[in-house]
Amino acid sequence: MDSELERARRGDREAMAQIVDRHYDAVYCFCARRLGPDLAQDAAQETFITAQKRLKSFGEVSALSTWLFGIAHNHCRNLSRKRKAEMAVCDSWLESEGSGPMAPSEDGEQNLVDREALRTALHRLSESHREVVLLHEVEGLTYEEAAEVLGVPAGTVKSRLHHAFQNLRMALAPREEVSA
Amino acid sequence: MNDVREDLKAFVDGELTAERMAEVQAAVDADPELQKEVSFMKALGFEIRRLAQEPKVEGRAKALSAVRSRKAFWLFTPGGALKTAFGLGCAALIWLAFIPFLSRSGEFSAMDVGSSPSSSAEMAAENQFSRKEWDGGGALSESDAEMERAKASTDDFNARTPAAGESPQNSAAGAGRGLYSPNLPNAPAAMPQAQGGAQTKEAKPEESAKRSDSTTQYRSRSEAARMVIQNADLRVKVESVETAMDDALKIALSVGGFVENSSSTNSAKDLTGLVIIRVPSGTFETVLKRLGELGERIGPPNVNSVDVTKQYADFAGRLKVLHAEEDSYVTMLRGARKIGEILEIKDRLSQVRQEIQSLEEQRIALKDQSMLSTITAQFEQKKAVGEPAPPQDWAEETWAGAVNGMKSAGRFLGQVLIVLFVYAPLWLPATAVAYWLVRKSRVHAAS
Repeated sequence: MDSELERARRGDREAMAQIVDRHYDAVYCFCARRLGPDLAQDAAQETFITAQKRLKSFGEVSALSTWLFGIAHNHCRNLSRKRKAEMAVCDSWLESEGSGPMAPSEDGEQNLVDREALRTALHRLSESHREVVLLHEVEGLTYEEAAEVLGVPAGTVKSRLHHAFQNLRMALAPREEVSA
Repeated sequence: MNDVREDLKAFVDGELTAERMAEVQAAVDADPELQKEVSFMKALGFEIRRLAQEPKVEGRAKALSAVRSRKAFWLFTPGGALKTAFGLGCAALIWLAFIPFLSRSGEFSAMDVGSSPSSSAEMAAENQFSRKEWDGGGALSESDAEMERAKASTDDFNARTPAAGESPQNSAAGAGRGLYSPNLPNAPAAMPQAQGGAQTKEAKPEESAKRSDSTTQYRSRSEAARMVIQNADLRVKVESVETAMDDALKIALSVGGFVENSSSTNSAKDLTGLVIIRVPSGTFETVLKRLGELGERIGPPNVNSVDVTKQYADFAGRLKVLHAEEDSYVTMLRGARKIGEILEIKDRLSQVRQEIQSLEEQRIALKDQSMLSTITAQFEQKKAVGEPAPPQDWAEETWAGAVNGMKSAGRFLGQVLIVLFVYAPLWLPATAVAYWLVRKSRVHAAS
């Protein structure tokens, strides 16, 4: 990996292609959840082109994927602004695919919340709260990684997540009680 | 309890320190409410992950192609560096090619500034010379042919009736040299035009060396044929008027000229001296320059040049006709028998001879004027003798200073603009390239 990165830094396009191949899925999904599949391709491509240009500035303080997510995050935000998308960043992944109670999980555990209710609750969160929920819960980033992507301290991410879950709990409380 | 609740999410996510994890774990174990909350958070996280469907990945090949085909910034590629070096080399060559051109044009400018008002005759000669070069150097122009005709008639006339002050020897010597030389008063100083041509060549040896023999010969011939009356007035501010006038006399004598008139005026405020000198026309520009160097020249010299070649040739033609008429009258007089006829012929003969004499004198005067140029130099003392500088009004002084400052600023601005204009072939492309690079980098940064 290091050698691949080093070669890509020296301008080896094939090494850069390998990096793209390795991280494309994650970056594409990251973009698609924010912008939708139509804009995700452009955003992912721009992310890797920008990464190729600025690879020398990558200090390897964090993981390469986190660094790429940071670039993708900025591109998503810029694209969203440029195209004056009515939908804010982070909303694409909440697009309705159906309503009603969620199907039982694979392990047979009973669903605690209704999908539509959860979607509504997530929509009601502030953008900053929704963003950290997406980064941590969906993208699987640690607090530190999410903090780097967003450019905020890790404590802020922790605090936002705490409040986001508090809000979700409050929004879903009646159902929780019913389910319980 | 509130503190534990605040860290509950981080506890679920395993983002707490080991110590804090142990504390929260103990609190959760002791409190069923917290256990219920932890369970809900875990379930909520699970549901959120389930809600976020994994998108179908598309566009991988496009991204790979974009990355593979993307060109590095041209300056940092080997080819780009080579192109840059080549471009810089070309720019250097252009620069080197421009330097001699600019410096040469600068010389020309300086020469023109220094002597342009006084060198109209030379410029005319240059133009004539250039035109003849374009004509091929061999074909004679209309004026040349006219001069040749005038030369023939003059030679014929001189051979028959030498004018006052002329010697057959001079005529014979001049006949072999040029158009008007037969009539020169004395042979050594007789060819000011030719001398002028020689001196011009001496003043610019490098230029004359560059020119071919044929063109040099042609130039000499054309200069010898020209008759130009040159007059100039100049004003010079000098430290000492007396010394300057002496120097002017010396300058005139050193080139074979003389002082025609000299006077000085000493008023209450100013001491001025006026010197009119006559110098061989070939030394006209040299003398003018040397006089200007005696002090601080006030403005450019006022130079007036008149080409009298055609007028001189016309005199020659008219003289020929008059001499023929004179001959016929003389013949008639020899054959006349009656007193009345003799008196009438003599009267006519006298008129013709007077006319011949008048024309001869005019021709000599014309030649004299063309041979010897007139320079009127007015010298002004820098500081009035014996008089302290008159006190000036402070407002006037300030006004004059401000006006001078504005003039200087305007002149400086003009110089800057001229320099920018002249050097535009160098800085304009460089600026355009720089602008293009900056714009390109901004576009890349924005994208």
